[in-house]
Amino acid sequence: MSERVYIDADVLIIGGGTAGCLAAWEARQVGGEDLKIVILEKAFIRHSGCLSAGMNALNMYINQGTPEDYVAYVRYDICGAPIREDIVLSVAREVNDTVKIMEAAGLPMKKKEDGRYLNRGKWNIEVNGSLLKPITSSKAFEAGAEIYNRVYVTELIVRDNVCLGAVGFGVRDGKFYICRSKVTLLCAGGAAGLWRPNNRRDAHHRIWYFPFNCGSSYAMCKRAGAEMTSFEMRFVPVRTKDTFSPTGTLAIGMGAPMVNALGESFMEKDPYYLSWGGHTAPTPIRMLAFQRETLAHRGPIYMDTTKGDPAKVIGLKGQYLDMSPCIVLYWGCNDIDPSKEPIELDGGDPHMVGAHAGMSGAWTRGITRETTVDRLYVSGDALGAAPSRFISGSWTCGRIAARHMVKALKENDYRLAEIPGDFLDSLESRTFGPLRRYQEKVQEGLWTDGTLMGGILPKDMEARMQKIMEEYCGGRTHWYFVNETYLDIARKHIRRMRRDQLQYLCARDLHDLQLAWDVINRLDVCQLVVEHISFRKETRVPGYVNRTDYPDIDPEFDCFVNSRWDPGTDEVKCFKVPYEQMVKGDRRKQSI
Amino acid sequence: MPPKVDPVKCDGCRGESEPLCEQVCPGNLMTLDKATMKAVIRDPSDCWDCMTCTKACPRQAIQTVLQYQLAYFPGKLIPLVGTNSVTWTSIDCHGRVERFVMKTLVSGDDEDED
Amino acid sequence: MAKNIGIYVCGCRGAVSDVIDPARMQEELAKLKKSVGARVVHPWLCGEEGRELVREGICRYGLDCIILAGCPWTVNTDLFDALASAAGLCPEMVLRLDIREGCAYPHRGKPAEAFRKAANLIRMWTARARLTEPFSPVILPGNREAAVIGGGLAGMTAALDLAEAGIGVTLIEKESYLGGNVARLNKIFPRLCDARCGLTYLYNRLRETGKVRLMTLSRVTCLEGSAGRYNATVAVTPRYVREGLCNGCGECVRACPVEVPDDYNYLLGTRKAVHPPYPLDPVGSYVISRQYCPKGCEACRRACPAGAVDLDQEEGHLSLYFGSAVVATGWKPYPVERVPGLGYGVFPDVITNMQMERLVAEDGPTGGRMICPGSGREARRVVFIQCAGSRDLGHQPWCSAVCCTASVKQALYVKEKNPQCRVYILYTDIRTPGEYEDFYLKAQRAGVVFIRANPAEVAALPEGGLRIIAEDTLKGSVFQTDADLVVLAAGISPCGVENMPGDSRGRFEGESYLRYGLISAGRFHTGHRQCFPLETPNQGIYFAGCCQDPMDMDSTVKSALAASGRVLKTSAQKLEVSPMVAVVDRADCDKCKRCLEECPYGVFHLDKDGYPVPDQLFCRACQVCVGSCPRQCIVPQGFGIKHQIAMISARIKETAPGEPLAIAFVCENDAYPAVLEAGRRKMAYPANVHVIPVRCLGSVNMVLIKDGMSAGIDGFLLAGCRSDECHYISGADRAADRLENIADTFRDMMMDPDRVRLIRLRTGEAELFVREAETFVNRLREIGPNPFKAAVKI
Repeated sequence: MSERVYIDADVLIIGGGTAGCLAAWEARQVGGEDLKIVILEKAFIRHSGCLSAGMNALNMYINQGTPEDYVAYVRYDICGAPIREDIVLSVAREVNDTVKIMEAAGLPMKKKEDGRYLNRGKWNIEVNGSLLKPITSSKAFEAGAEIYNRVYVTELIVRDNVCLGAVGFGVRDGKFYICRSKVTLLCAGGAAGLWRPNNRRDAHHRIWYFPFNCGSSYAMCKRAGAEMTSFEMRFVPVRTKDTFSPTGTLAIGMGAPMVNALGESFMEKDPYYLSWGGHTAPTPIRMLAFQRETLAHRGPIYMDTTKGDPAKVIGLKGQYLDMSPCIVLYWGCNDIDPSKEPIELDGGDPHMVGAHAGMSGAWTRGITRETTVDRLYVSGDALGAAPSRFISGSWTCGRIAARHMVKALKENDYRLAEIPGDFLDSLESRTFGPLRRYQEKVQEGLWTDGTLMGGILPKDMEARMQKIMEEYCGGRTHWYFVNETYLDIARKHIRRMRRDQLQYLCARDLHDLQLAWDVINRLDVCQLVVEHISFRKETRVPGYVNRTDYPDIDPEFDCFVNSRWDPGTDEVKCFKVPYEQMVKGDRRKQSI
Repeated sequence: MPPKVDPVKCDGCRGESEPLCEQVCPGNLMTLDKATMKAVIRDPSDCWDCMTCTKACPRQAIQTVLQYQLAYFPGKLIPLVGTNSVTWTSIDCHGRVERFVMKTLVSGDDEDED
Repeated sequence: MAKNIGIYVCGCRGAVSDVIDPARMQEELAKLKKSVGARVVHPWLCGEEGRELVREGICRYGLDCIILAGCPWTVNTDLFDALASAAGLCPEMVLRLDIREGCAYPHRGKPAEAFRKAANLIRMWTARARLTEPFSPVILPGNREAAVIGGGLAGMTAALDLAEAGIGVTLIEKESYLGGNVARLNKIFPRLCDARCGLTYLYNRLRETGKVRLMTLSRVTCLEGSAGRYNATVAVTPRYVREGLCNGCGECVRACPVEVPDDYNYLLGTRKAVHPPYPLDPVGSYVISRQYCPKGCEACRRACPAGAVDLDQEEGHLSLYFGSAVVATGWKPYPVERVPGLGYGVFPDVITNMQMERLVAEDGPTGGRMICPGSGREARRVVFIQCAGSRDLGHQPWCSAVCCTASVKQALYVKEKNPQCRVYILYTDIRTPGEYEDFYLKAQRAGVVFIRANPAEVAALPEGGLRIIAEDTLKGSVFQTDADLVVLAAGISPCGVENMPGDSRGRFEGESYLRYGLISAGRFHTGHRQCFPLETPNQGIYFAGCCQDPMDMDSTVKSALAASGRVLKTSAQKLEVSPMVAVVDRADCDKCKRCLEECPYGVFHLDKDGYPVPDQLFCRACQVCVGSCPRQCIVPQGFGIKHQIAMISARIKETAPGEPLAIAFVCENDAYPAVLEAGRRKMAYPANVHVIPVRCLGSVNMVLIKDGMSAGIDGFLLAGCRSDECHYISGADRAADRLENIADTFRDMMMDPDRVRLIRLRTGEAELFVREAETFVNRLREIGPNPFKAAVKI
């Protein structure tokens, strides 16, 4: 048995990131001094997660128009697919407030001469976000939250569809952490690394999304029996080639258009793209265009930075240093001068991100952020069906969730539950399973290269999983195409891995244990993705998922695809949930 | 751009365990080599290049180096992190230098007129 | 944080205003807006009218901090302190800025540059003032009780002095008797009176005070805590004789079957395992040295008519709480058997000087007759060999200070007992300081022969007796002489205490003798002797006597009195420490533990969550930790890193177009006086150098240099003490190490490493400062402006 650490909390926040830190702060604001707020953080809260490299812009800010206009924009940007307009609206209504709070916390805002924030288009403002994460985490410190760094949460404690806390292991100390809570906010990020990344060997983590977010939010919700949504709505990024740095800085910041090898600005040529708005077409359409142009042998595809102001190019490097510094070195070492030559693009590996341009996540009740599991709330990338919240929206989402959690605490007499000892024992043996298994398997012997004769290490299992997803579930090398036959193969293998391969998964040390849980969680998410894509028998968001067997939109699927996992049969059952349009207007058009 | 640790400059944060880079790495990748008492990355291929360790290192002992598969040799990108600002020095593979100064934090102190 | 600052610039009756134009200065002050409530340029603030103006300004504008720009803080401090307190401002809210010695004097040949520099300095000091706050006192719980470890001359003297001052004292002595080595001396110099006479006098007075708890046969096995809250574990060895029952009949000694080496007589002769009380035994009953008892032997118990022997007594352990302590653990003779060739331990007639004391003592093993222990003959030829193990890099590198005088004394014993006896003293150098010189002459007159020699070997003669072969270092020739008795002047080897706090990590291991003075087995060091006299690395624990330094009885008594005086400082129910002791801001701390490693005094420990916690009573407020912290989260009260950052970022301007802008961090102890002196002597040095005095160079955090690069500072000069002269042991060296590292980074960044430079100055080295400042600024001119001035600013 491992040494145990028992923690009790009124509010437990799993994941000290963009949403979690602000949730802690808001919980303190509305919950008062006596509220015990606990954050369990897998890494080190001041520098962890998606913001660790910084960010040079906030992609959600209402520079003009109304929150309703933002909803219309979000809806349009996902090609008019169903979204939870209530949730997006709730965020849009207070996102500007949140930005003010963060400015007061020390975030350097770029401003225009009139004192207003320097905007990039309608929904976007520029910041000096090199310290975005330390500043974000300062709100958690300010809240006086009890922060446990380097605790990897493995399972929620759920009894009779009520979330009573969570358990995990100390990444450094190897202790078993048991946190009982009255309400729990799960905001541990989205999922990277389900598909094979573009770069190999020592650059295989040179991807767009934070590679250490491995879908634990989704996997834990799913295993807790929560209703999940929109796992077919993955996000496929068009990014700078090789470094997979964000392109908003080029596209929105510099107004650089996409061009093909012939120098043609194809977005402004093809009537289909034009029907979507040309250059500013929805994110999936731009991805689709990239795919089509390349497949039509007009690649490589670029973003043309040469037409802009050369002075802006220097500024461009500065902006990248705040967010993706490696691209500056990449340009320097590849003799690339963005003012003289266009920047080559590439399609990255798909990601499951609920708060960015994808919308996978847990289904929630109204705008409370409470999942279908009682007392379990989600925010950030974990929250489903409400895309395009980005950083500022995730901050805001954390705040909103916190308010609803505190409200629930005040209205209900939630108590800390007694957790039966044998139940904790089973969670513990599951948590430390791969580590203990290694001790057993090592007895069976080692090959001369030091690998196990009787077991599999996490990275090998990850490679197998990524190969299956890449080749049978629409990876980059397959141009994101799928059909039911491919999906059947993917389903078969993912099921096989989940059912009878995990018993060989071994971890040599605590770092390996973390990697092992990363792959366990990702396999759970893979199952959701395969079933959701298979269920949605249409192509509603081309570019993200291209179904060759159902290439068109089917009105039957103008709805959400939700699902629930059955632990007895290990089946994911998908079903339709109707979409409710709150903001009037053509869903395929922006309102301003 | 996995972090490379200069064995001369790194002093293992002089402690017995967990140097600052290990403390801060979002991917749990940095660790202390007990034999040399220097920081080392567990697996360079796992790094996301967020440069947190590079910025945090009080001895500037960590350099992030581009994977050779992505770019030519040599070339350096060096952040020097101040209280409310950071300077960047980018040296391309021909030795050309570009420098940047960026604000990172608003301290709340208005400056006086020049 | 000061919200309403008054800036007062003094013309110093022309000394400043002749160089720095007051009218333009007034315009310059107008640019300082935030939190500034008064801007005054005045011809003479020290004058009555000037002072009244300041006092009245503080009251009228409600100023919470004032900057007095004029003469340095060393001038008229009392005057302005009084002024501030009359206006209700605490002294730390009065910031003195030196623009006279620091600007007008040295740059008077270049008034335009002097003006710009003065304006810059005022700007920097204003930024500093905005972050300045009044001190909150740091008061920690204390304990008036004291402990004295060691019951020799030093311990007894210190204990008596403390008891007479009303402090409760526990005196802990490892032997069964008090007085230590002194109690066993035959006579003491220079008057050759009886050592025990004085000790008895001391002992009786100790008893009279009623405030001293005497613990014999007791050892401190563990010492924890810090000033005000020390906790010692004391192990008490039983006597195995019940105190109240023993009537001193001596039957037990007669019955005892074992003869053991007589430790009271420094192993000269033997005694029984049970022995009568030695003089100055506060209990006065017999004592059994149980470790020598044969298994199952109960002879003494059976023999004792009073039934006082109790062989089942067990070692006692008790906890002792006290606020401060004197460590007076004394010394032991250097084990001279380790010095090859001198024959100690080989030939029984080679003895040590302490054995000689017992040999000639009336209560010694021979009743005071000079019988050679080996041959059993009366000694007629005695040879003393000095520096046995002292002043020898292979043994104890130090001079043991007393052996020369002691051997002279013993030579006189010999001559007194038998004037015919031939006595030689083979010495390295005779060191009989002060009045002991008379004593030396007296011995020469008595016929003692002194030979400056380097003894090579002591050998046995076949016919009995010993032969000493030595080199006469004056003549350069080898000679030999024979003796019945050879007395080795065994050096003083300090005794320590096990498990002292701060010593647990072997922190002081390997520190050199030359730097810190004596380091015993307990690895004491005394740090900076003039500034922190008698101090151990632990606040509230002070050395007395020979455990810190070899010394004679005279000095021992003085050091004991000095130590007890220091104890009085920390002996109180509440202790107020410097308000500038280390404070860790946990919200910003990333637990890197660097402060633990860099603190010269080891004041930090980790709490259960892994955060460093400074023991504020240990802390000397040197701020070396502040300089070390990569998160800048060690934030003591008073002038510190936050202020320095604000000063660097205060957007100061070049003193002349194209001229480099330089900041100098200057150690306030050594280097700053040199800078002041340069100003006082009106020596011209480049106005480019803006001086910020700091507590210790070790307090300078490298983030300041990084901030300076963003802020367009062209170069940094750090001026501190020489390596072995730092008040805080290692501050200047830490700075040197950090600077070397950042210079290396500059090289990586394709910048000239000469932008940072460390110089070491003594207080009087004004000329050296001027030379270094010129060299530095010239070099900055050569290498051109800070490249970040031209960088892209985002």
